[in-house]
Amino acid sequence: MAKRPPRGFNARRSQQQRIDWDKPAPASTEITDPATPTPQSRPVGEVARHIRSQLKADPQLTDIWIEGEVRSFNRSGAGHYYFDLADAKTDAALSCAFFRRQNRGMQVQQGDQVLAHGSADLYLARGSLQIIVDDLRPIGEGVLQAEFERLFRNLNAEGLFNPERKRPLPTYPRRIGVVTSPSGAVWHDIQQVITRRWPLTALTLSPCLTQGGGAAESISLAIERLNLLTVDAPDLIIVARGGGSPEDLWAYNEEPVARAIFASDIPVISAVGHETDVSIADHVADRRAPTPSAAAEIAVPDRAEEAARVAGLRQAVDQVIDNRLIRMAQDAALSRDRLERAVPHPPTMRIEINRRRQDLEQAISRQLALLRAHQTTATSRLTALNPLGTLQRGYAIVSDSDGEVVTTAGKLRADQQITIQFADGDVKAKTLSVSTSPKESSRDR
Amino acid sequence: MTDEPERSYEETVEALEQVLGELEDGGLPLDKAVDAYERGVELSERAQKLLTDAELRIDTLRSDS
Repeated sequence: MAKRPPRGFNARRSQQQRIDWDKPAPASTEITDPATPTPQSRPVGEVARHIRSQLKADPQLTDIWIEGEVRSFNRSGAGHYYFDLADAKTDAALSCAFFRRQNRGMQVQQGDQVLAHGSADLYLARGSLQIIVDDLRPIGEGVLQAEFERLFRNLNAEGLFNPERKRPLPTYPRRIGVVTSPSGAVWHDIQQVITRRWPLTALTLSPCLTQGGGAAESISLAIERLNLLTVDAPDLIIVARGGGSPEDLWAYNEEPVARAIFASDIPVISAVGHETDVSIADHVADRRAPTPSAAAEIAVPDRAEEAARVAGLRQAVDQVIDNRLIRMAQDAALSRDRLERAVPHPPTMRIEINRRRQDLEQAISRQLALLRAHQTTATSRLTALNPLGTLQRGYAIVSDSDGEVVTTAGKLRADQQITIQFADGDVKAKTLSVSTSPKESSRDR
Repeated sequence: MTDEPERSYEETVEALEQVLGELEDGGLPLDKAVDAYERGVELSERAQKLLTDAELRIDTLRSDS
């Protein structure tokens, strides 16, 4: 918002400065008798400068929107606009300067009803009050809309809404700072949602005003306070407010709030009003939620979903061990067969073999018993799902003479030796004939 | 469950995923596989317990100053 005075103005001012501008006010030593103070005279420049600083310090005269009718419109050769803003009802008028840099050659005419944005200033050369205008709009738009657009345009140009600035939110936030009113339904709703979905986190309420005078400053301070925490610092912030009229929600369209969100080191989710209300704060935030409850949902995972995920991991762990057990049992059976087939059968050898076989079987069953003992508690809930449970329900596993598990009839021929594994033991068998049904043979059973 | 500075839920699940990865690799000898299995069981139970037992903690900052 450059409020640059006309060129002549500056020149004049600096000239005066060289003479007496910055001299301190006449010292009190001039007053000889304290009982009879004499009036002091002051240079014009000093008084004018004082008036000017008073004007600039007054928030009621700085960054304001003024509504009125354009009169005495005059366009200078350099492209600056000079005009009066008049109020037909009260017959009041303010002279305005709208410089080329800001007016960009826009069409303005005598008699236009407009909203002008700017600040009061004193034109020192004439001692006349001027409004230095930096934005002008037709009156139909309404002040709030005009201000929203003005700020949106400025902040957007500055890069506050850039998508590449948006930061990722933590998947499992340890602590969430909540910037809202301590008394409203919003704070209650957020606690409810977080309690239901993810009570593993912690909440820090940073209370603030959510509407009315001072609300924007209060909100931005509440955001800053969360960023200043060194102990129990949050890793996510929710800035939230419930629904209301555009005027109620206005603080979230003010510059201090936008700046505070932009400056926050902690990622921010904003949720202001209802789904259809999109505030400046929403544009700056790392993530926008349509409502405060939705912000809480976005902020944390769901513990029911997480419980299912953990159960799935557990099931996979059980499955790996189950598969390993089945493979061991099959390998053991296979080794026993090979051993029996491979050796000659003199009586002494037979005894030795039997002894070793018993040792081997005992060793295997000890390992199995050990594993099962570890596993009993673990698998009971999942029994119905794992292959051993399946065997106990009456199903059997068929393997061929190489010990490969056979899952389709098509893999077998007639007169082939197979092993059928039941829950309580194995059966060696020979196939009589194989018939596959053409429809189902190709399907994965 | 406040007796020691314990693993967070996130860390617990990460450890469980790692155990599953080791088991699925199939390279572990049987005794190591049994150890890994036990650790997996313990971690999954601990994760479930964290999910069920958690209680939301709430602080409020002072708004003055």
